[in-house]
Amino acid sequence: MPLILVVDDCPDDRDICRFMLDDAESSHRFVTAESGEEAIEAIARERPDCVLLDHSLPDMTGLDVLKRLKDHPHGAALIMLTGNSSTEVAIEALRLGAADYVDKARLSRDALRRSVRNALEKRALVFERSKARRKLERTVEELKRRNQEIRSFYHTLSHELKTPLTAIQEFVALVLDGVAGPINDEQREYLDIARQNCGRVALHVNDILDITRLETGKLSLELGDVRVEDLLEEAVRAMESIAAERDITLRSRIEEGLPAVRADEARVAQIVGNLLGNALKFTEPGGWIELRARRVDDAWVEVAVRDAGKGIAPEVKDRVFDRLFQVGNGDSVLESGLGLGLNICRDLVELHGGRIDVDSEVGRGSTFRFTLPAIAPDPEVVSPPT
Amino acid sequence: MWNDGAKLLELEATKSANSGVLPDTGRKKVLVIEDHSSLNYLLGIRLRHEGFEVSSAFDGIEGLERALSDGPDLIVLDLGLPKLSGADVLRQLRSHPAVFEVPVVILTGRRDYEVPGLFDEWCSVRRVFHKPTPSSRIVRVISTLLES
Repeated sequence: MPLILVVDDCPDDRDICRFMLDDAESSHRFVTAESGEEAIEAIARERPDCVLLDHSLPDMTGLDVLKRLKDHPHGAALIMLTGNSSTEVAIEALRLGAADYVDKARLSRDALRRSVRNALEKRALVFERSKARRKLERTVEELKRRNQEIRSFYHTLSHELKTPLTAIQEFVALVLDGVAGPINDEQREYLDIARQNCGRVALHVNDILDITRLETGKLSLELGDVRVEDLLEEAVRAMESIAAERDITLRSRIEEGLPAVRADEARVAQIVGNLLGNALKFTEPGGWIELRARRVDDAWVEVAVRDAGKGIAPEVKDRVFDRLFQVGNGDSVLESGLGLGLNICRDLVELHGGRIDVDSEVGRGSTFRFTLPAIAPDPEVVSPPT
Repeated sequence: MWNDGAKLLELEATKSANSGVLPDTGRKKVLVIEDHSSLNYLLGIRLRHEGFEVSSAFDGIEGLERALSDGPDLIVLDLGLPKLSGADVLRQLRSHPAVFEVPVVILTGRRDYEVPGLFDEWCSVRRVFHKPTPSSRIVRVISTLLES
């Protein structure tokens, strides 16, 4: 049974309201107040569902009451009873949070009942909505917490994997280096396979660590002056044997007089290695991969990795830099991966202030290109005074 | 990056660590102060293979003691050590004339290794390696440093 607070200094008016609202079909509980102060106290104390608030009260106006209530959540539906058909008061009342207003001069049983019914329904809806919002907020908080938990789990997991993995790599290398005595060709071959596979696991583990560092903003660049040609040469050298094994030609075209870039050398090597690794994955034996570097303008150097592989379908082209995106069609061994590489590349390029994108055509290959900030050449070196 | 892995490795590492004061064999002596036993062990194996005498310590206090007692020609020092940090070991060594000039190779798991003033104040630091650097490379650098 809804509790109605009737605020009016005139006892007859209060009775009329009660009389109009109550009959056999719908019954209400009533409390009353005779002044603004009393009304504010009664609202705090009784927590009514609906308040019928007369505008002219002995100590203040109904609008004053609304103003006082505005910043104190009370949950009651407020209906302003206005006299003299005052539109201004009605508008101001609605602005101050009243659910409705009723002109006292035209007060009728139907009008008042309709107003109270509507106000209560509206209030119930508001209640439902805020309950749903609170529930949603709690869910969002819970999901954020879970996400954080999972993130830190992966971070810990990668660290825990990396430690023994590094030990395995080191001890395999120890035997391969002949420190434990001479080894024969067959033993070398087997240990090489073990070493290569450790290397693959290490790449994945490092990718997961990088992702968590990037997500938490904990990946910082160690910037220095980097010569792009040296870096690309090293990248080609690192991939040469794998490319040769698959009968893929690696070539590079580097513009003469390329300025150095301001970058984290190890991270740029990681980006290039990743792009080259992808190109190798998607290039058929007998194909080629080209590394290019050129000056875009005084401020930027562009590095590109171009392959003549199978290319990327236009519908997924925009998603290749998304986290966990995989081109999952077909050769499961070659195309396996965590789907983190290009996402990390993009974040690393952006950390440098550069941009990365891809041009691709199915059946013709792809070109991934990214920019790095060029270091302004020393004017005395480039153009000596004449 | 390194952890105290297999128990066996720890035992082996402890064995080599407890070998006592190194006899004077005319070979160059390297002291490895590194708490992660498998890395300590591994560096020991590689350094011995290169013909060096090796002593090992697993915390800062032990490292300091061995530095003073074993008379190493070079010290490999991890910065993140228990009991006494690598930085504190460096500072302590600085006050001992006997070891003041012994070259030091630093190992650190942190990329932001810079302890303010640490390397200015002790000019014997020759190289800083970030973990995980392959032990083969660390040993190569040590060999070069000791040959020159």
